[in-house]
Amino acid sequence: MPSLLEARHIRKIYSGGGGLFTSESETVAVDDFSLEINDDRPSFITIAGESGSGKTTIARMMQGVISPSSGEVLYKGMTLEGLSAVEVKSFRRDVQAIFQDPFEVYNPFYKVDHILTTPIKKFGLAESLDHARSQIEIALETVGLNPDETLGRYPHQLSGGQRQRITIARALLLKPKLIVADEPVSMVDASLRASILANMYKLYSEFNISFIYITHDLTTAYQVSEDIVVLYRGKVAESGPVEEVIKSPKHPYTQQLISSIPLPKPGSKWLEQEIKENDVDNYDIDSEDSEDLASQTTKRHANWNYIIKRLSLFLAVIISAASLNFFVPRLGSGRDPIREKLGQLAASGGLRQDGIEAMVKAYQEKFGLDKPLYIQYLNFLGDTLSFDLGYSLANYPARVGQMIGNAIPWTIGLMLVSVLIGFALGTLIGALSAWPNAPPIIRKLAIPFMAQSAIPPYLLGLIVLYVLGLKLELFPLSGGYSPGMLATPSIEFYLDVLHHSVLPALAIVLQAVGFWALGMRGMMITASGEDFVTLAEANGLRNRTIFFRYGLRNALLPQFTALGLSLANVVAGQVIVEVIFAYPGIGTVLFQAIQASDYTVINGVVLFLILSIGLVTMLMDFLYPLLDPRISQQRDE
Amino acid sequence: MHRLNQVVFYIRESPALGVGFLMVGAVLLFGLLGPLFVDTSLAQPLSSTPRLSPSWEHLFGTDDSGRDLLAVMVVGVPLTLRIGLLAGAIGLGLGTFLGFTSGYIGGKFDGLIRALVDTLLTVPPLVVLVSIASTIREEISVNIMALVVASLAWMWPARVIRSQVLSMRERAYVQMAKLNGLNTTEIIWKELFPNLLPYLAANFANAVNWAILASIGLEALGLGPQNDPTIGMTIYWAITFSALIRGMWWWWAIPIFFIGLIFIGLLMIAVGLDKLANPKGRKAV
Repeated sequence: MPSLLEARHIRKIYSGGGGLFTSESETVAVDDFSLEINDDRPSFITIAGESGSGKTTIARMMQGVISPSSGEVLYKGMTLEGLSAVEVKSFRRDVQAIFQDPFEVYNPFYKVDHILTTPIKKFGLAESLDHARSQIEIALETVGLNPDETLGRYPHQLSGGQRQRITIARALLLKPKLIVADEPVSMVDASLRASILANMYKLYSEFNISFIYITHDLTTAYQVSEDIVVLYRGKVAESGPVEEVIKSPKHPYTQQLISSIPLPKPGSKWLEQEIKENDVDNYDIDSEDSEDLASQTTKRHANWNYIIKRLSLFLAVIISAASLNFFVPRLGSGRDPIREKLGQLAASGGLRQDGIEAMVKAYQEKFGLDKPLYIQYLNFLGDTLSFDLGYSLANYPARVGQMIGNAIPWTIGLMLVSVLIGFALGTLIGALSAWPNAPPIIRKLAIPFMAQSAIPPYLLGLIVLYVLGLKLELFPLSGGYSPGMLATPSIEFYLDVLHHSVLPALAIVLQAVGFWALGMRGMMITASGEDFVTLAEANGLRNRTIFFRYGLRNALLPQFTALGLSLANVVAGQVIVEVIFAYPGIGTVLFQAIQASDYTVINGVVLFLILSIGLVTMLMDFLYPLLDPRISQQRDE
Repeated sequence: MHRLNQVVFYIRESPALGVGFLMVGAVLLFGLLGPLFVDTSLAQPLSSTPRLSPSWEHLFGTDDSGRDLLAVMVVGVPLTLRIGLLAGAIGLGLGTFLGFTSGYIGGKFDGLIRALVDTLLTVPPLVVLVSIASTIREEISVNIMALVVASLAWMWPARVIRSQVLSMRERAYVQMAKLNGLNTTEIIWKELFPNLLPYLAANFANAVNWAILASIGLEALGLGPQNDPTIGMTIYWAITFSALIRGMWWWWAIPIFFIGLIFIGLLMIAVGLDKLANPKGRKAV
């Protein structure tokens, strides 16, 4: 007869890494572990080991929560992955669990009753509500709880010991054949541990339920279990009946574990005992292990996989932008606005008739209705990839590429200055407003800034234009430079340009400051609650040091990520700001093109903006790991 | 009664939430009750003397073509809110569905959704909306506007909900639910969804905010519903006819005032709800 639950040579390997500068690394969490739980006679087995020894991974594999990388877990001779829905249900009834954290297992949305009534409902354990209620009461009383004092409460209203006992009562309701208990007493007050262990032992001795008891604490293992398996770095160091193993340990790691148990006898040697790493390493453990550990250290070299993945994402952005330009007009109404506009131009006549006719002809050749759609599409993709954007429909001899090229320096200049000022100022104000020692005026100042962040910059632009431009006449109302000025690289010209850029830049900065201040403030408040800040305070560091070295530095990183993500919105805001100020950048080109139904220019600007933002985002992704050493180490979920 | 107490508790816990509801509520009331007191036919061109500054007769003044701006706002504020609510609801619904399934089910589907969201997030939404709106310019109505904006409003919710679901999926109570015999659908709806409600509410406020922002942006570029006096179109006409330089401050300042109320109100609601959803920022109950 197959055993109830059997682990057969299971291994679990975690792979991680895969950022720009790291290669994939592997960690062997569990290596070749086998265990058999029989149906005929209940057993109480302890799996002991230090944290990181793989004991929780084993528990999760035995419950079917995660699958082993190799080897198999068998339930009544069937692999867990291959169970049918009905078999899963019977597996769940037979194999239950008690968890370490007696708070986390409760859904905070529900009262504690939820975890008791759900299994009764799902497994059909009761005929009526009254029957269910009496079953729950009996189970609670068996673990020493008063039902009136526990039912109807929310998890946070009960003590840790009470919460853990309810989970034991829950397991009892199901009358499983095996309970996997993963560190069930490590987060419970020491005074309550004994009673919870006694509860477990009662389930074992009176209700014939087998236990796999996972712990780092050999004292409790000795109290309740029959057999013990000692794990060391994912491997079984030693196993056997608990009496034998604890009285005469063979493996140096077990010896150490036992000698480090604090004994109430004075003069015992556990305080003097140093962990002799070498002893342990030399005993019975192949050199593989140390290699595993070595492979986890980060190697900073370019990860080509990642670079290629990211580049192809960028290519996908280019192609989707081009497809958007091609398909959106054709999907919308089935007509091609460029063709229509060209038709109008050809019919209206005028000075440049020859050129327009040539343009119509060229257009017909590439995108004529006699051509199948896919040929038109390929022609369009080809033009896009070679950056041939064609002629403007409204200002004929002007090429789209040239019109955009003329506008680029204006847009980039305005954006760089205003984004940088807004980002720096906002980050600073946000950080200071979250710092308890900051002068109160800064906190008061932060509030209107944060409110402003909700208003789009072009509307703030209207207000500054009215106040500073029209009423106070401090700055010019529109344009990039004065009408009579020659656009030559002279100091006069640059000063004039600067004078004209102040208001549009101010509009963007006013909004951006609040946006970044709000983000930074949130991050600082989170950071100030972190353990390392508390530790720094406990270490007696000065407030200012803590603020700059710990708070600010840690809160800055997410701020930079947000900068990359917000770029698309920054551009959108600026496009309209340029319209308000008739500033000679991309936004104004786009606005005029929309007014004149100049579809080639609209398409060109759309393509250009999508490409340039895609490019900048990609570059930021490449640079980010240099800023944050943690990012390359992060596991890919 | 218990629920009411809870609402009072939440508002006391997070004053931003209360102020935000007050501001958005005031705008909603203005739109709902306005037609009872104001003759909405005055929102049509040529219904009043043009270019009047605010007075007792025309509280908000009149514009170039003789529209009474009070009537325009009474008609236009609900239209703008409708675009925002409709687009926000569609975007949030779609995003939540995708975020949930992609976060909980994982695997290839998750990879596909993640790549799609990441690609689309690097694309400036306004630019795509301009491309769509400029080709269907003549057909744009308030509802079509909402659909156009909604087509790009789902990525942020999808991303945020996905990461929430990913972290919740690992919680011990989800494991407990599995041991209790719940299947995937039941875990999503009975265990995860209730805990996501505050996040969803905060995301809804954000999505509505974003949708109104996008619609006003399109309108300011002249790509809005040409025959409906939404807030954004009012600003567009004010810009087109140089209201600023001609000293007609009421023409542009009044719509900005309403936009400010809506945006700041929604921001405060989102911030307040976010605080409630994030127990770390919340004081012990």
